[in-house]
This record gives sequence, C-alpha cells and structure tokens, in this order.
Amino acid sequence: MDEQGSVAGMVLSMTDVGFAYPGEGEVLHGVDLELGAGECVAIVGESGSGKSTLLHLAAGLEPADAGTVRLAGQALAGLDEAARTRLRRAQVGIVFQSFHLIPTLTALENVMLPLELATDLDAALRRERAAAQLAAVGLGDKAGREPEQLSGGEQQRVAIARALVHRPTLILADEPTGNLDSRTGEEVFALLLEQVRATGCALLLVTHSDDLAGRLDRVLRMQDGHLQDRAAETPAT
Amino acid sequence: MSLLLVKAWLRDWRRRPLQRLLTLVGVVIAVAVVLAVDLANQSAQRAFDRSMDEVAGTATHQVLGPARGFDEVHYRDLRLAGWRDSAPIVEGPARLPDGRTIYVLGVDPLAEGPFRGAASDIGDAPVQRLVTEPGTILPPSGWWAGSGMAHEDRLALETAAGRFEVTLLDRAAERDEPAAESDDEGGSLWVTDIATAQTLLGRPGRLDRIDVRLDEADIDAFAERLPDGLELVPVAARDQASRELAQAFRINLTAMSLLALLIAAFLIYNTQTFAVLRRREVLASLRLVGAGRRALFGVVMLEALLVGVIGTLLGVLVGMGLAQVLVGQVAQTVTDHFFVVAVTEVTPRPLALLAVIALGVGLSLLAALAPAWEAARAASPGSLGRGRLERRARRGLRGLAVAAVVLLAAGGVILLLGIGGLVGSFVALFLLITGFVLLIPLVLAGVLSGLARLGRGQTLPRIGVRSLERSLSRSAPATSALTLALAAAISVSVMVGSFRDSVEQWLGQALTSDVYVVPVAPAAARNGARLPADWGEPLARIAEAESVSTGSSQDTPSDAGMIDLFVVEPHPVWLDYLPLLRAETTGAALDQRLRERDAVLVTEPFAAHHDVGVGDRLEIRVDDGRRMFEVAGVYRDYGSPQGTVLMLGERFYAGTAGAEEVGSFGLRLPDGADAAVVIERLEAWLAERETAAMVTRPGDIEQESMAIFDRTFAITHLLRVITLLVAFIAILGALMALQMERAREFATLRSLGLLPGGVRGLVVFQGAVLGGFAALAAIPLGLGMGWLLIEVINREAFGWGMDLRWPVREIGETVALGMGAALLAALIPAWRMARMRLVPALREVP
Amino acid sequence: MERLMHVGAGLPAKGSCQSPTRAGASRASPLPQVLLEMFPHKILRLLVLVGLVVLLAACGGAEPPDAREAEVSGLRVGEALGGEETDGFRRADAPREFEFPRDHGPHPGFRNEWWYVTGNLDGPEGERLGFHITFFRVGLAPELSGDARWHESAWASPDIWMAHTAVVDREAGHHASEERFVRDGAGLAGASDPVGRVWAEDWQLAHLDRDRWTLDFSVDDYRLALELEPLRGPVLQGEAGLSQKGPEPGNASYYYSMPRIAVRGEVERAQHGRLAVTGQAWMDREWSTSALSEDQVGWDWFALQFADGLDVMYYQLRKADGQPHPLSKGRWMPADADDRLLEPAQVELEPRRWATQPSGNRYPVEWAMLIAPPDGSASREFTVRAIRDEQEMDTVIRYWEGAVDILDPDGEAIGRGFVELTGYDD
Repeated sequence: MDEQGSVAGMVLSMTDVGFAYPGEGEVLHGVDLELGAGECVAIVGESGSGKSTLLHLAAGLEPADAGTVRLAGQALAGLDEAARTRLRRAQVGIVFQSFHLIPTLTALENVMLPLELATDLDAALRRERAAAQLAAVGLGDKAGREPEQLSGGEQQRVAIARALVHRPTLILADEPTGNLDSRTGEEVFALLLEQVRATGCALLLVTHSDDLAGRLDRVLRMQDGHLQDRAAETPAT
Repeated sequence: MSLLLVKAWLRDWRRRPLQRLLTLVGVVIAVAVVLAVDLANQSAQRAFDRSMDEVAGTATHQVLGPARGFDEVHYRDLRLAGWRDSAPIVEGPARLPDGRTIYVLGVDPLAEGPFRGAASDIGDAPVQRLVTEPGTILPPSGWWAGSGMAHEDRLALETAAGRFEVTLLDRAAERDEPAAESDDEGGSLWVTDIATAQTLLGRPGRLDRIDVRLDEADIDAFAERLPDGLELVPVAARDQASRELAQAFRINLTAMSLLALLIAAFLIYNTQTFAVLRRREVLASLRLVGAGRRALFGVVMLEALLVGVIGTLLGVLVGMGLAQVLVGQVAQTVTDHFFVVAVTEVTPRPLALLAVIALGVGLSLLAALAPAWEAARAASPGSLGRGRLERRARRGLRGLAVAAVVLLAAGGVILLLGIGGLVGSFVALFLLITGFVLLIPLVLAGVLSGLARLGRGQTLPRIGVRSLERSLSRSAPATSALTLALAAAISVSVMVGSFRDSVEQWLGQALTSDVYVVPVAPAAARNGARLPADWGEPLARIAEAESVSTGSSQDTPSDAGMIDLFVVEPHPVWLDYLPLLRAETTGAALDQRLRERDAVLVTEPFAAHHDVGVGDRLEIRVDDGRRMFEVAGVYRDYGSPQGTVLMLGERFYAGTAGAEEVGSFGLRLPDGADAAVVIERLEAWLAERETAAMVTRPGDIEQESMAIFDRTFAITHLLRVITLLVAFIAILGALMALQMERAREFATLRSLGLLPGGVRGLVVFQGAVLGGFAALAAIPLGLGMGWLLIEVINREAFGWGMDLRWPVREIGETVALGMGAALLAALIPAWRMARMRLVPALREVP
Repeated sequence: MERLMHVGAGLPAKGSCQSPTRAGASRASPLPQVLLEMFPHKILRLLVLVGLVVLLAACGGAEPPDAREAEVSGLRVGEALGGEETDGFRRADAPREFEFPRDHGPHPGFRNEWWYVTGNLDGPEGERLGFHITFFRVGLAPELSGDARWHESAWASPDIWMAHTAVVDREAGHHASEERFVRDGAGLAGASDPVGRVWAEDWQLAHLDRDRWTLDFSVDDYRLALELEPLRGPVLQGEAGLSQKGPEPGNASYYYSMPRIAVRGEVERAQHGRLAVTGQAWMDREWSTSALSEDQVGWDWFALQFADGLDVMYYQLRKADGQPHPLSKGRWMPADADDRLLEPAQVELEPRRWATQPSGNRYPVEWAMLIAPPDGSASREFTVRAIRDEQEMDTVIRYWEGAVDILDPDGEAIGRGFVELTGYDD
C-alpha cells in the first residue's frame, strides 16, 4: 500500500475539507483523505457522523465549504456543474444504500445508462458490454426485468453492475448492504468486493459494520465530523 | 379535526406560495369565464328585452300594414269607433353625426298612458314642448353624459327622409325640480312627438303601426273591423323570432364558457392532486402520529374549500372585469343581427352570483375528492408510493374507457334522434366531448408504451416516455385539458372558417350588379329607407346599364307570423347566380313559375325555422291583401338569421299599380364600362334629388358584411384564447408535478452523470411528447366538434347550412400552438429540475 | 339578386350603444299650464290641466298616487296664474258682435275655449237621470314654433283637448264619470269651422249649425244618444257677452249660455237596458285668454231651470276665508222678460247638508238659497238638493258636478238644475 503517494497519482484526495448544512452546524471539518488507485478504504462511524456527506463531497454531488477535493487529480472547486458531472461520470461509480435504480428501465438498460452517458460507444457495443457486466454480477438471465420485478439483493447487484460498467477509477458505496438482510448483504458485499478487485478500481465504502470494514485495505473512523485513521489498530490482510 | 393538524397541513402554503397560486388560477379562470359570459349574456338579454319592451310597451297586439306605412286615418277611425286602448307609432332608425345609429320612436304623448311608461323615458317627457315645438326630440337620459351636447342644442340627424336639424330636450332640464335618484335603467330610444317623427322619418300622413291592448274576447271583433291591408299581430309573435335567435346565440356562448369550465376542472384536479402528493411525507408523518383517515380526508377537503373560496372570490372580481369586455361584444352582435340594443353597465344578479360561487367552490371540492381519498387511504409512508398509486390509476383506465363508450353512445343517440332541440344538441356535443376525453388516458397510455417500445435502446428518451406512462394520473388529465382546448380551437376554426368561406362565396355570387344605388340611411330597420321607384329608368339611362334590378325588404304578416319578405325585380338570368339548394325546377322554368304564378323562394334559415319545404304553401300578405304562395325553392342566404321569403315584384304588386318605392337599385353595366365614371355620373344626378341616395359597389358591401361577420365571431376567438391559457396552465402544473415526483430519479440520473442540460432536455422532451399527443388527438376531436357545430348546432340555432372546409392552415397553427404551449409549460419545470440540489433529492423516500 | 343590399346597407354602421343610467321618478314638469280665467268652469279646467300634466308625467305609473295628489294639492291657483303666458294669444279686450250659429263654432287664437252641457233626464217609468259633458280646448302655445318644415304633419297642433263626461242614474244607484285627453290633430278631436261639430274621439256634439243638435257620448258602460233642441236663444253673460274678470283690459272672457234646451233621446245601459229619455239641458260657452284673481279657493256654481220658465245662473267664488268674493255673479233670466245681471248682494246662499264622497272629500249637497231679483220682482226662497249625494267626478282634479232638484219651502219640486262645486278637496 502506497500511503504516501503523491497527490497527482491519487484517485481521490481531500485536504482539510469542511462542510455544513445550512443551519445545522458543521458536519465535516478538517477532513484529510487520500485514496490511491485500486485502494479499498472503509469509513465507519455512527449514524449522522458525516460519513455519507463525505461520500457526496467525494462524488461532487455537493460542493465542499472548505478545503480541496480532487478527483483523479482535478480540483472540483474550480469546475462548473457540467464539468463536475463529466468528471464524475468518467471517474466514479456510485452504489447507494437504496439501490436508486431507474424504475422505468430494465436491469440491462439501467446498466447501459452510464455507458450511454459517459462513453461514445455504439449501441450494440454498449448493450454487449452491459450484458457482460450484468452476467458478471450473476444476473445475465434477468436483463429484461424491471427493478420492481427484482429482489433487493438483485437490485443492488444491478446497481453494482451499473457502477462498474463504464470502468470508473473509483467506486463510492454508501451502506450498500444497509437495506438488505444479513445473508443477502454478505453475498452482495462479497460480490462488490470481488468485482472491485477484478476491475482494479479504488473503493470508498461507507458502512457502520466493523466486520465489513475490516475486510478492506484500510478503515477510517468518522466521529463528529473528524476522520481518524484506524489502520494501525486494524490488522490488514 | 385538530387545529395542529390543519396547521401542519396548511403551513405548506407559506412555503410554496407559487404553487398555491397555480391551484387558485384554475378556480379563478373557471369562475371568471363562466361569470363573465353569464353576465354579458344577461346584460345583453336585459338590454334586448328592454328595447323590445320600450318599443312594444304593454301592447298585446300591433296593427301593422305595408312596409311604407299606412294611412293615419285608420287610427282615427279606430279611436272614433271607441277603441281607445290604442297608440299610434311612427318609428325608424336615424344616424347621429358620429355615425352611430339610434332608434327613433314617434308617439302621441296623450295616447301613451297605457303603453310605454316606466319601460321608456316617455313617462318623463316634457309633453308641452314636444307638442308645441315640432322638431324637438328627447334622447335617452343616459346619452347626455358622453355626448358633449346640452339641453336645447341642435343636432343633425340623418334618416331615410334626409338630413334634419333637431332640437334636443333634456327632461332633467325641463323639470322644475331635480329628479329623484332612481336605480331603474334608462331607455335606449329617442322619443319624439309623432308629428316630428312623420317628418323626420319620411312618413307624412302615415303610421308604422298602432299598438293596441285587447282583451281575449275583443280580438276577433277588433280584427274584423280592420280595413284591408292592415293586420292584427300579437306582440309576442312579432319578436318571437328575434328572441329565439338571440337566445340561440347566447346558448352558443354559454356552451363555450362551459367548455372553458370543463378544462379548468382538469386544471383544478391536477393542482389539487399535486398539492396532496407533494406533501405525502407530511401525510405519512401525520398518520404515524395517529391522525385518523377521516381527519386526513377532512384536512385535505378543508384546504380545497379554502382554495375554492379564495379562488372564487378572485374569480368573481376578474369575471366582472372580463364581462365588461364581453358585454360590448355580445351587444354588438345582437345589434348587428337582431335589434339595436343599448347595453347598460354590467350588474351581477345575486342569484347568478350565488350559482357561480357554488360552482367555483363545488368544483374545487369535487376535484379534491380523489386526492383526499388517496391521502386518507394511505396507511403508511411506504404505501403512498407512486408505483402502487399508478398501478391503481392504470386499472382505472378500463373503467374510464367503459364510461367513455357509454357517454359516446348516449351522445350519438341524442344526436341521431334529435332530442331536445338546440339544448339537446349541446348536451350531445358535451357527452361526445366528455366521452372522447375520457378515452384519452387509455389512448395516451397505449401511445406511451408504444413509444417506449419504439425507443428500446434509446435509454434517455425511453426514461422520459416511461416516466410519463408511469405518471398517467398526472399526465393524462393535463393532456386531456390541452387536447380539449386545442380541439375547441380547431372546431371553432372549422366552424368560423367554413362559415366565413361560405359567406364570402355567397356574397360573391349574390352581388350580381356592378353598381348599387341605395338610400342614405341607417337601415337598421329593414323597412326604413326607400327610393322612388321611378328612378329606375333615369338611373339606367345615366349609367347606360344593361339591366336594372330592384329589391325591397319588409316585414309582412303571414300565416307563419311576421316574416321578412324580399321583393325583387331581378336582372335577367338572375337564377343562374342564386345558390338554390332545392327547387321544383330550375333556370328559365323556375323564373317563369315565379313570375306567372303565386310562388316564392325561401332561404335556408326560413325553411328551417318555419319547417317548410318545396311544395309547401304560405299565406302571405302582399300589396293588396293575403294570398297563398307556393314555396318553389330553397336557396342559401346568410343575410338574415331569421330567414327571408323572396318574391318577385310582379307577384307582390299583382293587381295593383306597382311599387312606388324600392329599397335599392342594382345596375348591371356593359362589359368594359368604367364603373368609376358611371358612379361619378350617378352621383351628380343623385345630388340633385330630394331623396338622399348613394352609390356603392359590391366590394364595399362585401367588406362591410365581412367586417360584421368578423365582429360577430370575435368573442369566440377571445374565449378560445382563454381556453388555451387554461390548458397551458394545466400542462405546466402537470409537468411540475411530474418532475417533482420524479425528483429522485432525476437526481439518480444526475449522479450517474447526466448533465444539467440533459435534464432540461429530458423535461422539455416530455412536454413535447404530451403536447404532440394532445395536438394530434385534438385534430380528430376538433374536426368532429367542428362538424357537429356546423351540421347540427348551427343548423339548429340559425338554420344556416355551410360548406365544410378543412382548415389545414389553422389545424397546423393549432398543432404548433399546442406544442408551443406544452414546450413553454415545460420550460419552468425543466429549469427547476436542472438546478435541483441532488443530495436531498437522492435521500427522498422512493 | 339584391337581397344583399339589405345586408350590406342594413347591418353596417350601427354602433352606438349608449349606456343610460338614471331615471328620475316622474315629476310634474312645466305644465302646459293653461287656462285660467274663464270663469268658474275655467278655473276648474286649469286645475284639471295641471292634473293632465301630472297625469302624463306619471303615465308609466311610476308616480305613486299620493305623490300625485301632493303635486296637485301643492299647486295654488294663484301661482299658476302668475306664471301664465298670455303673449301671442288673442284677448277678450272689447265688446264683440255675437252671431249664431257661427259663434257656437270655435274661436282660435284664444288660449282656452269650452263647450259645457249639463242636463236632467226622465225615463218612461219615472227614472231620474242626469248627464254632464265638457269639451275643453287648451292652447299650449299660440302657435307652433320652430322651422315650418316640421309643421306639415296633421298631428302638429299647439292645442290639446280635454273632455269630461258623467252620468247619474238615480234608480240604478249609479254614478260614473270619465275623462280623456286628446290631441287636436289627425281628426281625433276638434271643433269644426265653419260651425258644425265639436268632438273628442267618439264623444261628439254635432249639428250646431242647425235647429236641433245631436250629442253622443259614453260614460263607462252608459252610452247616450241625445237630440238637443234649444228652446231659448243665447243669453250673453257679463256686459253683452264680455265678462270682465279683472281691472286690466283683456282680463276678461267672452261668455254666453244656452239656458234651456229640450232633450230627447236614448240611454243605453249595459246592466239595466235601454231607456228612452226626455229632459232639459243647459249649455255654457266661453273663450278667453285671461288671468284670475289670486284670492279664490273654489266656487259653487248653479244652473237652475224653474218649472215656470225662469232660468238662473249664479256662481259664488269663495275666498280663502270662506267669504263670497265680490266678483261672484250670475244672471236672472225670466221666461218672459229681459235677463239681468245677478250680483252677490242679491243672493243669499247657505249650505244645509254635507255628504262624504267615496273619495273621502266632503261637499255640501243641499243649499238654502234666497234671491232678491234684480228686476224687482218678489224674492224667491228655495232649496237646492242633489238627487244623489255622490256625484263627485273621478277625474284627476276632483270636483262635484251633479243634478239637483229645486224645492219650494213646502218641499214641492219647482225645478231642476245642475251644480258644480270645486275647491273642497283636502
């Protein structure tokens, strides 16, 4: 693990980042975080500790109030909404706790969506690649189903496929198992990790499960808006 | 229902004032349009009735004679024979220097007592001056204010008999003491003494009519002693036709306003539903803390009540303003076609006001029923999910379709059987429209799912289409509203366009002379102005005309009541130009028939109103008494909505000396003649005559006629604009609802990398899909409605037939307008969605 | 096909919508206040004319009845008099030569002229009837004003006519009166010149140029067709027919009477059948343009025909204080001697009994009268008694006009007559 890698080589780097929701006081302050290529990091913490907000800032869904967030070496603060969106769709895949599949699209179409948005592949190729990705998460036979026709676990697998299909450098996952029962959650998590490792992209996982977190390269603890490195305490594998 | 509950629910108003406003707009427009049309109708109706009453007074019957009037000696004979409840009248139109037409009623003030009092200004007349100073006249008291004239000023009036200087008397100035304030409305007639009227209107020694009051028992005795040439006509029969037609016109207007109401109802439903759905979290929370279903239902209905009351009050204000605009239009139309009416200010009748208020509030409550029910049914936050709701909505489609088929069938049956006359036709029209509109959701659903299949692989468009399909409960009512509005626009285009074309074509056909000589007079009353019949020969000589025709119109008694009789001495081959619809025979044979035997032609409206056809017989009073005439043909004519009977001069004057006066001359010039030169020569000759006359060309007449035509239909255009406005707001509201409900999806798309511009595009695309659908659906509906208006409603109301014209350009315009309205309506939600903050949206409960 | 001409010429160029607001309650306007002067009856006429205007003004029924009455009672004879326009009218300012039957005809140029006929009638079974008819011409102006162009109509005339009729049928317990206003023109009403007839629609006094006149009129459902034969020549009132009303020249009238006229004819009664009647009538004629004194509130007028051939006319003008006015006068017309002026000093008149009419007004209906004849003959004392108490005219201005009996002190009937009482309404 190259924890001292240069900023330029980092997939994600956050320096002294602060954020506050209007009228709610600071949610994050002085957060520093660096994520190298292919590095899988977990952030754990209590509910409301600011984990998810950190993820949103990292994805450029919200602008930081203070500090610098860099995605693939580019500072988000200097970009307009459209440029930020372009950077996000090229570099990031997101897995939400509640799946966030587009209900009006089939599983396959959901997976095709990032390809359509982020690449100029022709339609046949998009379909082919999406189908492959869907097969990779074990849902090759349910490509034509709509989200409502899928179980929670299946939906989240589709979401994982969707996050990975366009080969981002970073996967942001926000409690990906939070809406699933423990067995399904375990399966989905294993699948996520396997796919991330297989594609070689970095992973930033937000979870409250120390168990899941422990299976990653590094675990950071979020407490009252501060980020503490617990790598030393946790035996890495 | 707890106060807190109400507060929790209504506090939203403060947070989203704009959306409340949108909800109000529907109610405001619905109430305003209905009230305005009703007010305008009522005001015009009152003015019309009052004019009629003023003219007829309390007479039960009128003694009428030939158009040129009858000898005043008949009145004296009646009086001397002891028929004292009688009053002589000389009446006719005159023109003010500013070009406006007035109606002059010449009365014997001493005979007026039983007849016109409160209904007119006569009761207030300074009798002495009217009698001892002929040439004095009493304008309606309301006229003075805007006239710039004062008591005893002199004013030039133009009448059938020429130009006269009259002295104006102001009854207020003639009174010793100021008039007591009173709120009864002034009259619209210009009253003068009968001696003055005889001179002013060119009726020396003659009367236009005698008003009488007869007991049932005396009628026969009275009629018997009338000399030949005079007819006793019940007053009611005399203006019946006008009243019915004016009523038909008003029913047309009311139907237009109800259409606007129907569209507004969609709007209200839309916004109310949206208002509930947008606060589903509040609802869910309220349920969780234990608010009962009944309480939730109540709180939603309470809100609807508030919206209804506020919107209705605002709507009443707007409606009264709008009515001021409409009333002028309506009155003008009534004046153009039926009778000179003076419209007074618009005053809402308490009862009508109550009805409209009930309508506005009731509509709001009704429209809120479904959303309130939805709100109450929601047992938990999750169950309020859109998906389930939409599934239910789609199940409802089948029910709607069944209802639609029933309505369509009912409408069709009413039309086919011709039940209920004009009102029945309108009911049928509305049934058909409603039926069609109820089909729209089903059709829309089908079209959208078809589009979605078509767009397989085109992910984004597919998202747009599918989300519309899944939000059918939003998109369908809005689309229906827009469809209805566009269809109304198309149908009016079809109707007015067809009508206008037919009239224009008819004018071109009917005006067969190259030059016309007409009296200088405002011939508001058809039988007003006349020219000496012996002018025909000199006119022909001066103009070197190939042939001369004459025409005179007059009210004449017949066994079908008072009819408009048009006596012509036409050019040769005139029948080649007459748009005959049905006839016993044609060409020379028909001409011969009309000349040699007692036969007439009737216009299409006449045939419709009096239910006569070729071969039927009419007893018509001609110059020397009543004779039976056979209807030899029916021809198309838009000149008079009441309908006209055409008779050749030689039949009318058969056995008498012939016409002394005619209404107009038509001169046919030889090929190559310079009309301008001829007109100059004619004008020089006319300038030396005592009777004022002028020369006009067919073009002038066409222009004037078309101007009147356009004025008549101006009001329908206005209503069309209002309708479109309502539809625009409906689409706007629906799209906003749609976008807000889909906020989470949009946020997801954005997080996946969709650019803000992409979001805008998607929303606008959805607007375009709805607009396009509405525009396309509106074409068959609009054409169907147009066809019904032409073939059923107009025939029923006016008896006019017309050639159906498919107004391609107008349809194109309307489609563009619909698309435009939908796109325009999409802009605001598109802009809002593109700027939406993503994280809160992502957090929303699905 | 010129049908279109009528569309073209007929429809355009309307416009013109005024918006009348307003409307005052009708009020009496400047009255065609007219008359005056001519004696007793004339004053009555004035009042009636005032009423006429009110009537016309109120002809829509807009005027509540009490307002109308207020209007009338509010009017003072004197005021109307003061404002009366006499310019342009001819004046009775010099004695004139009377000639008959010519002077039975009209005298245009004077502001007022009237024909007044009353009479007592007997039916075959002892039925007792009375009648009254007045034709009254009022010049609203001396002539038509304005441009001559406007004067061509047969309706154009500055005059109007008012006519009253009344009938009393004692046995049937019936009294009725009627009033009409007719314009002078178009043959509706007038007096023919040369003399012949006077008419207001179907009420007509005709053949005035002959020895026997005819009189036809109706009152409600009574229709009278009478033949009138004057038994005595015209009696000129005042001085040779010039009856001076005030000190100024011209403030006078031309006035004559036909005091004794034999009547024969028929009364058609809707309820009680047809009746052949005979009786005696009286005609008064007067024309003038003059004004009246200010201090009179009403008058009591007597036209008495004694069985012995004596005729007496006497009117007593009442002043505001109830006293007889010095201008009161009459005529003593014995059967076989010259007639003479009767002055107030020669007449004692005292109401004996009063009666309330259906309208609520109270009039004296029985009088004691004592006359010291100007010719020096024996004085006459007698009672004048209405044949029916209720004989008030139901006209705009109410007055009592009724048939009376003349009784001697023993209660024996010695003659008949007619009485007119005005100024008794509240």
